[in-house]
Amino acid sequence: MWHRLRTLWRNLTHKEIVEDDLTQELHSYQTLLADEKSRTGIDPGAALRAARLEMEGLEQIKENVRDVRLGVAIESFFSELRQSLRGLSRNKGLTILCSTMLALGIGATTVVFSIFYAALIQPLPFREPDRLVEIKESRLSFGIDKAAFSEANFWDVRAENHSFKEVAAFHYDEANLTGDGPAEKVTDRSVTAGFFRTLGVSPMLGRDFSYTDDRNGFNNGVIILGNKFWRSRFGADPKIIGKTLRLNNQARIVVGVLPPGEPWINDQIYQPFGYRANADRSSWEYSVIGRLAPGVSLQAARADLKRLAARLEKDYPGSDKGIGFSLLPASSWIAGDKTRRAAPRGSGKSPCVSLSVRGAHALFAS
Amino acid sequence: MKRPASATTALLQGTLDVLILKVLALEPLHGLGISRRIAQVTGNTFQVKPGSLFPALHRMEEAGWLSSSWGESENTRRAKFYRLTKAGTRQLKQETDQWARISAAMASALEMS
Repeated sequence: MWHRLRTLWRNLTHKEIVEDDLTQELHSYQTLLADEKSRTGIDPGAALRAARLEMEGLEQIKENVRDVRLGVAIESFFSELRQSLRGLSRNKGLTILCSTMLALGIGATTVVFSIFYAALIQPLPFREPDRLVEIKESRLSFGIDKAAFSEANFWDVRAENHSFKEVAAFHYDEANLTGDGPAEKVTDRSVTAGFFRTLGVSPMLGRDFSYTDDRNGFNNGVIILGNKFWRSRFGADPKIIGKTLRLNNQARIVVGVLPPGEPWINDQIYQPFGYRANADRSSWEYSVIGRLAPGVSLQAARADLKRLAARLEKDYPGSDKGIGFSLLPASSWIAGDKTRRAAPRGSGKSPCVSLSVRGAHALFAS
Repeated sequence: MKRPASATTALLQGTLDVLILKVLALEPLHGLGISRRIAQVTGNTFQVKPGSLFPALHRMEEAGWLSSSWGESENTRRAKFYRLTKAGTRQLKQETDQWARISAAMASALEMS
């Protein structure tokens, strides 16, 4: 093996020496053959001519030897490559057109794949995502199976369910951020204290919201920053914890910074969404997620919520008439379940590259 | 690039290899010497032309069966001498056994009928 590698290296890198040696060897053979003939008595010139004649062409012999050398395939590959490059350089316009076409094709494929990956293949950045569900209110008698939660119903579900380790509600808003730099409109998610614990995400700096943070309506004065926003606005300042920002002209203290990740945890600012005794039961505007308690199946959780719905309907016959709850697995959060399952099948075939390769081929063939 | 690939050629190539190994097992020789010695030991049945001799020698050297060095011939000409390596000796043993098997098989097949 070692011997063959060394020979291959010599054949490829010291071509002149190898060729020169072969030429000398063949000349030596010819001389010895001529000597042999002149020993029979003919004169040296005639002997040399006879020897040449008998050898039938030195070049042919050399060609035969070259064909058996190690690395002959590699060498002919490079010589063909050189020839192709020369051909391409003679046809600059065509070369540029083809390269552009292939580049666009490959680029488009990459983009498609990146989107595809982010939306369908990349796992959710949450702990045990198969235990996560989204909970919706329903009014099947009105043909509504997935509606947002009312505030008061959420607090009741959080207090009275027996199936979830954590349940959290959130609400999306925008706010004006002032102080410490230019004023900026930011995305502002109000979340109940257990939101990040439900997802299984812990702040990378500072602390999570505590359950006392959501006891006091909306005015708790603490916020958590999204990772991207912390980097872009505050230059990833490690001393951000404890700083005061003004949100809609009210003072807010930064208590935590989230790790990077999509979705749900990439908003700019999070603030606690607190309990209110006078919470509304008929404005449906909150999203609710839950983490199933260990050992509780989706079916058991559905039955548990059905029991709870019956209790709510009985106590609040006005606003909660016909109420029920739907549970959706976390995999449906980004794309529907069917899309996710179907995704890996389509991923191998990108029309972009095959089209561009076909185009390039057609150009060269013509 | 093209080489004839008939059954005869394949057979002859194998034959040439084993003959070269055999004559070099006795002493180091240069190309013409090998050619003459083969003719001698086969009773002039094989007249090896340089067009097949040199490709075979170079191929066998690259396979590690032969080694070569420049030296001086009997009549003080410069010549490249080939000798058997250890791997070449092993190869000769292996091919000799194979030839014994083939010739015994051929002989028994042709004696039938």
